[in-house]
Amino acid sequence: MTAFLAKRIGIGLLTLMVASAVVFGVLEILPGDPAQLMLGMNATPEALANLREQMGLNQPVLLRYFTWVGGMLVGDFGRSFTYSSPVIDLIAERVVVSLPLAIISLILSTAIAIPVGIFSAARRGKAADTVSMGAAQIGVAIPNFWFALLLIYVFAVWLRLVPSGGFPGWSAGIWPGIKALLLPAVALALPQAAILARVTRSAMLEVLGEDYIRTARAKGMPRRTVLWRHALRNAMIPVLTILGLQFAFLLAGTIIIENVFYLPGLGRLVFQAITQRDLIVVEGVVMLLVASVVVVNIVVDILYAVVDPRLRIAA
Amino acid sequence: MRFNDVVFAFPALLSAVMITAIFGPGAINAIIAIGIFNVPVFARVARAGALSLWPREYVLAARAAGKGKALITIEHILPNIASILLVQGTIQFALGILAEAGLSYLGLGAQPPMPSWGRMLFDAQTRMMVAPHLAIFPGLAIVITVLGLNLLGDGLRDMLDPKLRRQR
Repeated sequence: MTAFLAKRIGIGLLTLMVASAVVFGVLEILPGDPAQLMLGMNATPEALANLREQMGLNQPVLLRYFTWVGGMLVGDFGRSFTYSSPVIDLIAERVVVSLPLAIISLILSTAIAIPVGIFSAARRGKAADTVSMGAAQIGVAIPNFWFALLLIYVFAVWLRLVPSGGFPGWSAGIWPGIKALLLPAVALALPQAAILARVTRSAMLEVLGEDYIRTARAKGMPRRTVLWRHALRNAMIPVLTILGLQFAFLLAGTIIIENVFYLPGLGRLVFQAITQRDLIVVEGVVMLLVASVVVVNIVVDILYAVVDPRLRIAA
Repeated sequence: MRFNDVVFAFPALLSAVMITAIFGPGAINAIIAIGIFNVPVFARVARAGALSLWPREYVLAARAAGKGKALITIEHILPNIASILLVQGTIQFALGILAEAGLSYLGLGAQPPMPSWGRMLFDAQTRMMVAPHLAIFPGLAIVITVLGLNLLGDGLRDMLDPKLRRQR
C-alpha cells in the first residue's frame, strides 16, 4: 500500500511539473504583448519599455519559468497587473466562495443520486425505476445555466426567497453566505445528480447479474443486506470514477454558473483574467486547479483500493 | 495513460475556455476544444472498466491459452466494457451540446450572425423580468435535442448488447 501510494504521489508530482510547463508554454505563445495590452495602443515606447522591464518580460524565457515555479513552491504566485495585488491574495479571496459551492453541490448530488440509483436498480422495470430514470434522462439534458435562470426567475424574482445573485461575503454571517450559494449549488447539482444516478444504476445492474449475488441470496441472506453490503461495494468503482470526474468539473465548471449569479469565485476570476490577458493570474489559478484535480485523482485511486481488495494486490 | 493523466488534470471547461480564448472565439475552435476534453474522459472510463475485468477467470483462461495482452484486450476486455463506453458516449454527446451552449453563453462559441441557443440565453437573461419566454424556449430546445440523442443512444445499446437487453 505504501509503495502504491508513493507511486501515485510521484505520478501526481510529475503531472504537476508537466502541467506547469504546458501552462507556461501555451500562455507564452499567446498573441499580444501583455505590457502593450495594459497600456493601450497610445503608449509611448519609453513607458512600454519601462513596464516590460518592471514585469520582467525582458528576461530569458527559461529564467522566468523557473522563477515562477520556484515562487509557487514557497507560496508566491506573483503579482496581478490588473488588480495590482498578489495573486495568492486574489485566490484566497475567491476560494472561500468556490470551494464551499463545489462541496455543497457535490453533497447535494451524491445524497440524491446514489440512493436513487440503488433503488432503481433494485426495482428494475417497475414503475419507481421508470419514473426516476425518466427524471434522470431529463436531468441529464438540462443545461445547468438555463436551470439556473429558471431558478432565479422562480425563487428570486417571483418568490423573493433568496438573492438573485452576488455574494455578501462570510463576514456578513454564515446564513446570508449560504443563502447566496444555495441556488447556484442546486443548479450545479441537478445535472450531476442525474448522471450519477444513471451510472450508479447501471453499475448496480451489472453487479446484480453476478453469480456471487445469486449465491448470497441462495444461502438465505436478506435482499437488503445483499444490496447494500455485497452489490454496492462491487458497483463502487465506476461510481467513484464519475464522482472524481464530477468534482474536477465542479471546481472549474462553476465558470458559467458564477457568471450567471455574479459570484466572485475562482471561475469568474480566471475568466476575467483570460479576457484581460492578466497571464500571471491565469497561470496561478490554473495550476491551483490542476493541483486539486491531481489530489482528487490520487484520493479516487486510494478509494479504488479501499473498496476492492483485488486491486490492492494487483497494485 | 500518463499523457492522459496530464490532459485530464486540466478541468474540462477551463481548457475549453482557454483554447477558445487563445485561438479566438468561434464555432471551429469551440468544436476542437470540446473534442479535446472528451478524449481523457473515455480513456479514464475505459481504464476503470478494464481494471475490474483483468482479475476475472476468463482473462486468466485466455492467458493460459497463450493469448497476449493486446489480443485479450481486443477479444475479451473491449466487448465487456463496450456497454459502459456506449453509456458514457451518450452522456458525452449530451455534454458536448451542453458545453457548446455554455461556451456560446460566455460569448466564446459561435459568433453572431451565426445563431446559437447558448447566445440566445445570454441575450435573454437581461430581459427576464419582462420577457421570460425568451429564456425558456431556447433552453427547452436544448433539453429536447439532448434528450432525443440520449434516447437514441439507449436504443442503440439495447440493439448492440443483448446481455443488457435481457436484463431489462
